[in-house]
Amino acid sequence: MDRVTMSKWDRAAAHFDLMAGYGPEKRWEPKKRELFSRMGEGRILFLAVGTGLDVPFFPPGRSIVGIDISQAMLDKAKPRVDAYPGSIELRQMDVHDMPFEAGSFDQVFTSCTFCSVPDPVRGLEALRRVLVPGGELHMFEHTGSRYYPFRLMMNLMTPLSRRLGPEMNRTTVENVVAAGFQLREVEHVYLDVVKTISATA
Amino acid sequence: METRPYFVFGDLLANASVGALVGCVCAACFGTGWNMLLAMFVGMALGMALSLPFALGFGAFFGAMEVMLPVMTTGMLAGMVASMTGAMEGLALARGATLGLWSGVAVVIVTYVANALIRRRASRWTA
Repeated sequence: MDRVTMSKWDRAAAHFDLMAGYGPEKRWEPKKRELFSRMGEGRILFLAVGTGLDVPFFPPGRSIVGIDISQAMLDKAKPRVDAYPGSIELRQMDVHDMPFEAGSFDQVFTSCTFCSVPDPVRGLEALRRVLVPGGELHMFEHTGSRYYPFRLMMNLMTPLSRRLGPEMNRTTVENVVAAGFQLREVEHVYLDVVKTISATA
Repeated sequence: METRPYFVFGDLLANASVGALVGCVCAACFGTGWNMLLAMFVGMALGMALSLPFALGFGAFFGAMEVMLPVMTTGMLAGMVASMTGAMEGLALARGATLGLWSGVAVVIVTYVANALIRRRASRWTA
């Protein structure tokens, strides 16, 4: 377990909903609902469930394992998880060291996760391992930008933002490919920064 | 393109108010004694630094990246325009605020157009 990352998100749990719980969730709700509507009937892993802000957007009746590195985040998520009309099992876990057997899941979903995973390619490789061959990865992520001045700003902000939470200039689409996934679809939601990514193992 | 009135209003409010604040501060800081080029760079940096906490504050109500990136761009642009104008001919606080406000409105328009163009060009890349 990565103790540094864990304690960073334990600290962030207290004020996370204050920053992310209203504006960002309201703004992204339509796209997140669209992405999560792809949740099928099989076994689903949701990576970095956080305080459970995304749970109300899940389609009902699914069987989901939700993991997060921070127990404080999971404690905050519990009321939202309890209200979900389906099955969500919460477990504290580091994506780099998941104890699941290979091929345990049919689909993996992430939401603003790989801005924070310390070793994104290794984390994505771990996700590919727990997916069945041909299993689906669906991500809602923010990444760096190719365009000035946004690229400059995100590069300037990352040393600060990294201390508090996410990095602003990740190359997540390239990381998905580097981890061995077959890229299926990338949709830009805001500029080339906020996007949905779909790939298969 | 964002069409929900709450978010369109929020984008305009955040950028116009941060632009006005940065313009006002830069008008107070940069007078005709400044070298224009130096004033421009210092003004841009000051504008970005000033806008960061407001980007986070407005972001809690109106969105994350959709607020942070334009607001910081507004800070940079308003800082550049107000500091250069101040260095060239001096700038009253009210005029600095007005310049900054319109810089913010311009950034909102440009980012909406840029967003539409980028999304149209690259939306739904499919294998």
